[in-house]
Amino acid sequence: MDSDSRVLARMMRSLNDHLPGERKTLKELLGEDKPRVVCRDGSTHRIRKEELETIERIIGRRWGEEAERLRLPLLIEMVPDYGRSAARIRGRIYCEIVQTILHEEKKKAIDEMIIFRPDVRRLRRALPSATQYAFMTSTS
Amino acid sequence: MADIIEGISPTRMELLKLGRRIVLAEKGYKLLKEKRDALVSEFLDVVQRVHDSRARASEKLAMAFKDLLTAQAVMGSDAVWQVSQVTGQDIRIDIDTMNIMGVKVPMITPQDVKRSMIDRGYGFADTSTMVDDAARNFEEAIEDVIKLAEVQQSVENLANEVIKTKRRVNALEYIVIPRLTATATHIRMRLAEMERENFTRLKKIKAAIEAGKKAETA
Repeated sequence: MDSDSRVLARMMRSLNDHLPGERKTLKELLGEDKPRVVCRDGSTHRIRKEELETIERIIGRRWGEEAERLRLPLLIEMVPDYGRSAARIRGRIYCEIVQTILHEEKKKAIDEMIIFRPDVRRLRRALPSATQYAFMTSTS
Repeated sequence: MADIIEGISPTRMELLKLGRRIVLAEKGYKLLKEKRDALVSEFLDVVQRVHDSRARASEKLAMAFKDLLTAQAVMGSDAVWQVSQVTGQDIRIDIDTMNIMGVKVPMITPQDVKRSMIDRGYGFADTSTMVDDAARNFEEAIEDVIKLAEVQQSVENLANEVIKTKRRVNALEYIVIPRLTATATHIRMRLAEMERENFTRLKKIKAAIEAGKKAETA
């Protein structure tokens, strides 16, 4: 690989440096006085308690024990393959949270959903610290 | 047409390498464009929050100062000053950071800024209710001013990142990818030309050989 390509590859890798090295469960975060996760670049990302409580309210009763295994921050995956500014949410429990926040009709449980720019903005406005963007190169 | 990369040899191997570099550059370009769009969205939201916070803080401060002036008119400036001396309070704030796509923005949370009338520490008997109103409004204004500081700093940090990302996207869109594509086209043309040259050379050699054979048989 030549130097240009190396620079480009490094730049692409660094796009996701802000993601947490390890996500914490909702239960763990709610138990912390100052809920935060450590990012891959070594910085910390604080999550607001109010947002955690909002998520707990959304899923708490319906999901029971599974809610305790929910890992945060919720990832908004930006995948260029789906078109410009389209984002993917993966995981049944995460989809339910997003659907509730966006006031979407929940016909059945889904494992994956695609949302577009206006919805991404609404989601980010509702949960600015409990969600994070992840940049993916392909759908696989 | 864009410049081509200097010193590159027109071989099939280089063409293959260039193809891979173009794919990588285009992937990077698409991802960076996504990041730029997301950053701009975030930036616009934060700008809106700055606008709202500023309006709220100004309104609260205007109300607080109005109440303070009324209190001074009712009780006298000296009495209000004396009340202010017994109500000293350190403002405790919790400062942390949030990471938005690599941009570190502050998260400032004021703690216990609002107090009850008893906690403020002055007597009720010799003070006007306007003092209470002014104190309450100032406490609320402080919270809004702190929030404003947080979003103001976030705007600055996000704006810098938007500029940086935009510059990278433009570099890829207008310099790197066109240069790689132009170089690949150049190599392809050069290879085609070499093939044509070879074909002509072979034809000439064949003609020369045939002419030699004819001369031998004659």
